[in-house]
Amino acid sequence: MNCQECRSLVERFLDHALTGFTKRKVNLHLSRCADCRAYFDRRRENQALAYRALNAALADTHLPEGFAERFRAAHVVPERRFRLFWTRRTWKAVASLAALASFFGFAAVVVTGRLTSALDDAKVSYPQSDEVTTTESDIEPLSIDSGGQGTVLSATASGDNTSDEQPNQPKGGENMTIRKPAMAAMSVALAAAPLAAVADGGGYTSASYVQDGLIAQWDGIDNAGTGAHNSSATVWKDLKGSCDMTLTANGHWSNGNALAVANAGAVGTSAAPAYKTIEVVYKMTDKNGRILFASGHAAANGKLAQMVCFSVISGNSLAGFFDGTGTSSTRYARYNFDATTVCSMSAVHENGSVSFVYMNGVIDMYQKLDTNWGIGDGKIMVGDRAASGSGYGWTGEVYAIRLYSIALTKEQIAANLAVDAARFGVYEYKYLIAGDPIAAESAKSCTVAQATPYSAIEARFRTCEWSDGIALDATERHFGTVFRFR
Amino acid sequence: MEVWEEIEANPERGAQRLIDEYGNRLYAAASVLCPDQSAAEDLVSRTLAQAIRKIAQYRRRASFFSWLYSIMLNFRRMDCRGKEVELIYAETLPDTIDPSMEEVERLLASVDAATVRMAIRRLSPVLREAVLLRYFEDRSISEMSEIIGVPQGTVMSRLFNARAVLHGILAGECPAGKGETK
Repeated sequence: MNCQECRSLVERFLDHALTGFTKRKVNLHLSRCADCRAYFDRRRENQALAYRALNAALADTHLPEGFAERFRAAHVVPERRFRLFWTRRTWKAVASLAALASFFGFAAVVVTGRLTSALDDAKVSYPQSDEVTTTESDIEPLSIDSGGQGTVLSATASGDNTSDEQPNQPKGGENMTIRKPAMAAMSVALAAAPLAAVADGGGYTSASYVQDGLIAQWDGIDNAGTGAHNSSATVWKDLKGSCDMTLTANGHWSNGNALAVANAGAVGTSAAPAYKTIEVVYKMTDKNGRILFASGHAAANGKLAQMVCFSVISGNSLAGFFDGTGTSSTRYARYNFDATTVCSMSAVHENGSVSFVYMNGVIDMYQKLDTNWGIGDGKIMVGDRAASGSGYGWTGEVYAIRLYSIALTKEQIAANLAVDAARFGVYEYKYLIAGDPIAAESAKSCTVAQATPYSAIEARFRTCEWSDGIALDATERHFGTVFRFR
Repeated sequence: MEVWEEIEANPERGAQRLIDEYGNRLYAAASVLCPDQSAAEDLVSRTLAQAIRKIAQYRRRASFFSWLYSIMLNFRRMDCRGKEVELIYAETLPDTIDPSMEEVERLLASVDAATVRMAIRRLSPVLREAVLLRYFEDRSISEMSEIIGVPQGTVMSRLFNARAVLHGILAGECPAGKGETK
């Protein structure tokens, strides 16, 4: 190697870009050539000067003041929140309602809330909603024309609590309480968001929800069919049809029996499924509970062929689709609820092959299903998997359940959510994130990159942080990664 | 606990630690890459948010800061897409020594910090990237290749051109034109 060759490599040498044989040749030449050594030393010194100059130019550059707070506000911490503000009108309404309450003997509270466009201004990182139509509106005080004390139904779960459909279940013997919501109960349970009841007659009622395709509706506030509820009531009227919810044994809960629909024929059979959307507004009060809502039909092996399950396991509320004909196939959502959280969950069966779960209006999970939902053995169960009470009890409060014969659109679900939030005070809830113990197996990143027929469905998704495709097949469920909300 | 482990375990705490440990460095680089302070802050904010969001994808093959840096550079490139002026790329290295290389560094050392920053800002985004990574972050060619996502030869070319343009800027010989952003 001559000097010209060596010096032509000085830049690469100083940039540590020379390797192997070439580098050894340069080093060998430098060891023998003082001129080139001097040249290299000068170049190295100049480069060092440049380093110093550039670093000096940038060294005193610091993040602007308040960056951390702005960052948190924009990206990480804020929760999906339905805020309720007490306004002057609220207090006036409280005063007038107190007078009414004393007259009628009802326990009534007032809330005037402002449902913010929470799904819009919630700084969610994922999933994002660009299509939520919920808008800000002053919520008129509600009139409650029925109600009273809630009916508390309690029982002790028993039976086999271990199942491959419900892994990691708490052991049996836990109490299951399902409380029919009523004003008094709600005012206690939702201390931070009492429900409204004022005399001016305005506001939301059970009729405020999407009516298209509504085939059955059980509503805690507006359950006018039974008159004044009391602790011994055994029926929760279906406000839209004849599918009253009844206790299954001796007028009280025992052995974890669920509320069963008295006339399930009205909501179809497994062969001719009559509902496509289930919506439930609920609050868990026992983190060790199990199934909130189950609907399906028994397969030949005794398990449920298809079931929508809103379940709570070990402090985490889950939504999953069971396919009891095969192996355990539950997949879990990522919700970490506390006892003060009211949520509105919607499960939609669409196109005969895909189902979605919305949590507070947000698509949170979808799954390809090979068969339709349906009711084969005549039961919709709230609070347990089977009428016989197999130990999958659930403890909490149910405020409303709605069944639709159509697959509600995201916009329709958002519209119902706005009413739920106004009436029941739907609160923020916490997503688990990848890495949390419960979510670890299910909070996958996945690509919605499937060919038809799912492309039309994909178009309805909001912007997602999907990556690394997972094939959509009969056993896969898909989740997005989310930030933890606080 | 490493910062990426803390992000996974507790995103809020991890986010704060991310800001504390890497925020200033990222911002310093962003302040050179971006036209103004607001854009720089926004770039850093998006970078950190993306890092938290994608923390599970950090494979620990490169240093954590390299990974952050590549996120930031990707965002910056997306922002600049369509706005870059035509660049000169020399695909091969000069066969002879170019004395301006030495002069560039002397010039850099002889001017004040504000002039240095001005000069770097007048570089095109890709050249600015190369200068930042080489002279500010002290990355090797192979590291730069991994961060930027181009072959090492391309990195060398960009450094060569960056130095040439810087020399022109600092020596007052290079009007706004090729290799520079307006």
